Amino acid sequence: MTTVDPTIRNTVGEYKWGFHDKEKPLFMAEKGLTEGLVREMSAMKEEPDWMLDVRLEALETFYRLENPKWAGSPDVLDAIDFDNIHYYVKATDTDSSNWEDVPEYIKDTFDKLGIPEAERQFLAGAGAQYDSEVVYHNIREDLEAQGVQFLGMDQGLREHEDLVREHFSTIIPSGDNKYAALNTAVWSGGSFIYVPPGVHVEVPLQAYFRINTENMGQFERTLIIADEGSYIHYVEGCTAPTYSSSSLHSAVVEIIVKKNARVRYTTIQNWSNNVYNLVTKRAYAYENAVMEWVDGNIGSKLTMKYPSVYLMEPGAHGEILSLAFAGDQQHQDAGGKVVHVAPDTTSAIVSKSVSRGSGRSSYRGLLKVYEGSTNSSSTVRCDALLLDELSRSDTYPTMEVDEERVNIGHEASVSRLGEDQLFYLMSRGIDEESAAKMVVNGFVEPIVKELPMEYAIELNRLIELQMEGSVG
Amino acid sequence: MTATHSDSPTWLAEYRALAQHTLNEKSLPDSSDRPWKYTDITTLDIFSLKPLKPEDRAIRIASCPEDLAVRGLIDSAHDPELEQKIQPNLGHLIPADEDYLLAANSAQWTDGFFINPEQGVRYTKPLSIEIDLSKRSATVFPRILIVAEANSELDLIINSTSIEEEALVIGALELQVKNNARLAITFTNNWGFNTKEFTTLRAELADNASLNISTICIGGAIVKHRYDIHLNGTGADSRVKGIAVGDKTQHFDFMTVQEHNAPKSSSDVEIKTALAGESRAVYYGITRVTEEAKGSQANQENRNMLLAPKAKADSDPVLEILTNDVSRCGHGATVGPVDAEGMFYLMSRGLDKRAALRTLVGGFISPIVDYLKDAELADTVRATVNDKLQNASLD
Repeated sequence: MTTVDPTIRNTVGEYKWGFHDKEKPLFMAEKGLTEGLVREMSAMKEEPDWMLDVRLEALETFYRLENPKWAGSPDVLDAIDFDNIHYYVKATDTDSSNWEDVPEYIKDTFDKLGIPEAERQFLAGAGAQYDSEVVYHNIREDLEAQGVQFLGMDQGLREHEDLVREHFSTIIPSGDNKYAALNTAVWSGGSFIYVPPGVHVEVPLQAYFRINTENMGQFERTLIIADEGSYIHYVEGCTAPTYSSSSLHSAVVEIIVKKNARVRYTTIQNWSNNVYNLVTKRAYAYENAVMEWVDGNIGSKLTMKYPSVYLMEPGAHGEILSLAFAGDQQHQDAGGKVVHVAPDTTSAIVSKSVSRGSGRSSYRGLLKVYEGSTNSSSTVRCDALLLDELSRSDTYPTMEVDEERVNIGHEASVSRLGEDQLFYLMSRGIDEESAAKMVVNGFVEPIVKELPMEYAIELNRLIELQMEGSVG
Repeated sequence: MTATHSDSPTWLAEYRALAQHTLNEKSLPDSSDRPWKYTDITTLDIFSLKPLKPEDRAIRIASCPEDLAVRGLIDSAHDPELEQKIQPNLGHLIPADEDYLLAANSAQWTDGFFINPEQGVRYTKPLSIEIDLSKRSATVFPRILIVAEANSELDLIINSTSIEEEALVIGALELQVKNNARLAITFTNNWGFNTKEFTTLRAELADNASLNISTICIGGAIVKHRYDIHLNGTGADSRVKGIAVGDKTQHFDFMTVQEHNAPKSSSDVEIKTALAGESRAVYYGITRVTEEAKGSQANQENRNMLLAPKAKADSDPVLEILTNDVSRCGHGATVGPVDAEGMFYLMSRGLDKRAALRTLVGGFISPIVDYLKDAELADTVRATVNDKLQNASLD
């Protein structure tokens, strides 16, 4: 059952989640992206006509748009062969709220990943997506009784069509970029969350995304609506098998944070090193609302992801904590964007990145302050740590300020693993590798401490794995 | 003797012919070209004004150290001895086929200088060049080639003035700074209000060479200065200091590229702007530390003070660090209004609002003005900035 290409193992080290199931999926679309495929998907999902129209229009947009020219190296995205991808792979018919209904082999996979266990321990609800379809969603009964909706996106569309129609593609129009268009055309799965006014979901909701099929494209679509005065913390994790050929993960996440509401969205991305992770995430925060992105990028071959907050009304606050670890042959092109559209809005971005081996981590940001956003303030702080001679770090902060009465600052530093820090620790009898791990753990600490404890422990462990053999 | 295309040495004629060809083939850069993202020149017609003629002496030497021979670039190329120094360097950093504006300069320049500080000579007096467009509305293409020989030391000052009517300046400078040589260049721009200037400076620095650039931008409608500095020698050091004081619809665009290609090289950039009226400042900087540049350090600072509600600033200080063996690399950028507490303090001491503002802006830019070696020039700059702020639009 557990199959890992030995050559891959050598390049990525021990990736614990590199196994895959050999079960045949219920339905697997032919490789390639055509209008026929989009129509077939929409028909299989029994979608309303307007959604099919949205998909078809997005497909046109996808064909028309080019890859972004500013990518880390000019041709890196050209390596993606859109004709060699399975756009829709359906493993099972069930999207169940009962774990026992999930097919045995999928359950096995998620058991190995610790999903139900996590749910039992501390979650308010959990969802799991396997290839293209959500196979499981459950939420605590008391929250359900308060009207909190936590569904697979397809189910969300079926049960809350009006809400979905009102908000779908309004935060991220399909023309935003080529991959947002792709997602809009072939989206499947993802989460639909609605939190009614005043409801505080004190413990996190979790979704877990798993790619199983080789040359698979996963295009989940998430829509979160936090109504006035509500609070929710959504956590997502992702893994994939280690294949010798690439998979594509291209999600779109749209979030609406209404007046006085607060949303925190935490990602621990640990795709295997053959996954292109090209994701568009954006939130609109209204009056006195708070939007927080905690974005941890450990896995993937190439990640290009810049969670964004648009501060739409006075008093809105946006916060982005970005952590990236680029190991050998990885490029983490991460960062964040904040757009101030209203007065008295505030934001903060903190980015910490670590590059190791031939890894490259880039901070790419945008801070835009429109005229009229008086008394706004923003700080951006980027720190990068380079572990060896081959590793690379870039900082591309863009600041556009059209308003006088604001306070905007950006600071960045790039440093190496400090010899004096290592020396100090080693003089206390700690071996070099452990000392290096301690320094790195200390460096990322300000972000890790923002995570729920189980995730903090997991993240520290992932970083330790990435650090394995980093010294000497 | 005045040289023309036809009697240039063959290699020079070919270079200029290729540049002319580029000019015919290419078009002006637009906002999809990153260096031009915030500065729109797509409607610029570089041939709408008459080019100046050499006999207008728009570009002239105001003062020169006695022992430094400075000659016209084309004249110099006719001297077989000088030709040996010019041929490998002219067009080396500015290829004839790269870009529209550079090609325009390469094809069209009539006023150029070859400056060649001699080996081991420290010139105590500065070389001062004036670009003077105060007589008529025109386009000018200043071209300067400097080969600073080993262990030489020279200060170059380029002062620019122009009439209030339209004028266009498309400048290009190529610099070779050899081992242990030290070159300082100060640009002071007092352009008239309808002058547009686009100047590119490119430099290669050898072992322990040092290049200091100071830029004072006061006048002009659109002024874009781009400096590309290649730190190719061990211990090479570059410093760029710039200030811009903007009013009305003035637009200042600074772009700097520091490419660290050798160990222990260092670079420092500090750009400060104070913006009144609807003026706008753009900063785009790239510091790239390559694998070879072990033990290097780099810093970029961009500070923008917005003095009026419609002023704008865009800042993008980029770092690309390809080795972990760096002693310190960092950058900082800020945009904000005048410090309210400082204003309150000064006004409570009896200064009126404008005087308080002048004091604070004066303090803000003083690290750069004080850095000017020429004390007289520094005084002039302080006075000019003061005058400008006295009349600037603050609402």
